Order: sequence, then C-alpha cells, then structure tokens
Amino acid sequence: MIDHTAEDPVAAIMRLTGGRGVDVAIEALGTQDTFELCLKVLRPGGVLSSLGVYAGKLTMPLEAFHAGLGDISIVSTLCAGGKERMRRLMSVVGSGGVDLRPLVTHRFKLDQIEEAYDLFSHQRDGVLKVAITP
Amino acid sequence: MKAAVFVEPGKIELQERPIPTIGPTDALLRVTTTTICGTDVHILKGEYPVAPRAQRSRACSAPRL
Repeated sequence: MIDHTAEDPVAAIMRLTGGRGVDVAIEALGTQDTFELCLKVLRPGGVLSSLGVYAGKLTMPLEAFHAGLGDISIVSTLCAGGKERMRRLMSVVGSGGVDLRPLVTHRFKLDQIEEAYDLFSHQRDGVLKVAITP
Repeated sequence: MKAAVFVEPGKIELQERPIPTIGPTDALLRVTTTTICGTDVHILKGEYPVAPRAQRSRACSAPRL
C-alpha cells in the first residue's frame, strides 16, 4: 500500500515494479488526476480498468498515452462476469474471507435520505459508504 | 412504498409510490439495505442528462441476477 500523501505514487509504483509498470491499473474515483496516474503507471500493453464515473471533460494527455504507441487497453466494464462473479464475491464475503463492514461508516433511515446525500456528497465526517435502511 | 426521487438537480425528496407491477421475466426486490453511489451524487448535481423521476441507484441496478 502506498500513501499518496507521503510519496509520489507514480515513482513508488515504478520503483516497486523495477521500472516496468503494472499490468492493470484500476481507476475508481472518476477524476482526471487518477485517470492520468493510472496511465502513467501502466506497463506497455497494460490495461486501464476504469470504474469511476466522470463529470465534465476527461482529456487524454499525449505523454501519459505515449502518443498512441503505448499499446494499452482502456476498458470501462463494470460487471464483467455477471452472475458468476457476484456469486464468487458473495462467497468470499460470506465465508469471512474479507470483512467489508469497516467500509460502512454511517447509517441512515430512508426518511433521512436528504441528510445522507448531504453528508456523502460533501464527504464529511470521514464517510466512506452509507447504509440506507427502510 | 417510499421512494427517494430525483426531482431536479440539487433536489431529492421522499415520495410515496405504488409498488411496481412486473412481467414474467422481471424480479421484484424488497430492498433491506442500500447505499448511495458516487454516480447518484453526479446525478443529483445535474452532471448527467438523467430524466427527473428516473433515478436508479447503481447499488440496485448493478447486480445481474
């Protein structure tokens, strides 16, 4: 794990991969910065998997795109694997292989939905994910 | 049933809606827990051309059962 506030993530990833870059970079925020960072840490022939949802304009910097010679794949598939992937994911969660509970930082009733949106959209109070129940 | 409805950019409100009727290839789900997706926030801010009253949460729409 690399703390991007403590060191340059691109330099760190290149150091850790011996200057090669990674096979797959997953973009999960939907911002120009993270999209570019993913391009910069990919090895030639690598895959940028874009899960984030963008707003406004997303531009392709020539340098990070290797001017079109990087032989990279950019995919925006969100649910590849469909039902089988979901079954395996639920199996991992159900068997305790991964504990996702720490991700749920706040809980709201549906009646408080406006309050929940306000907190989540402004990323206040250390929110990660909110759980909404009836 | 209660529904959180995207009324217009910047405005979401709780409304009473009829339980949807479904066809033979549909499934009607009772949601016990859901979340707010980052996409929902984009929609609320009016950053996507989503028709008012048509909002779907990715938390509900993503699983293909």
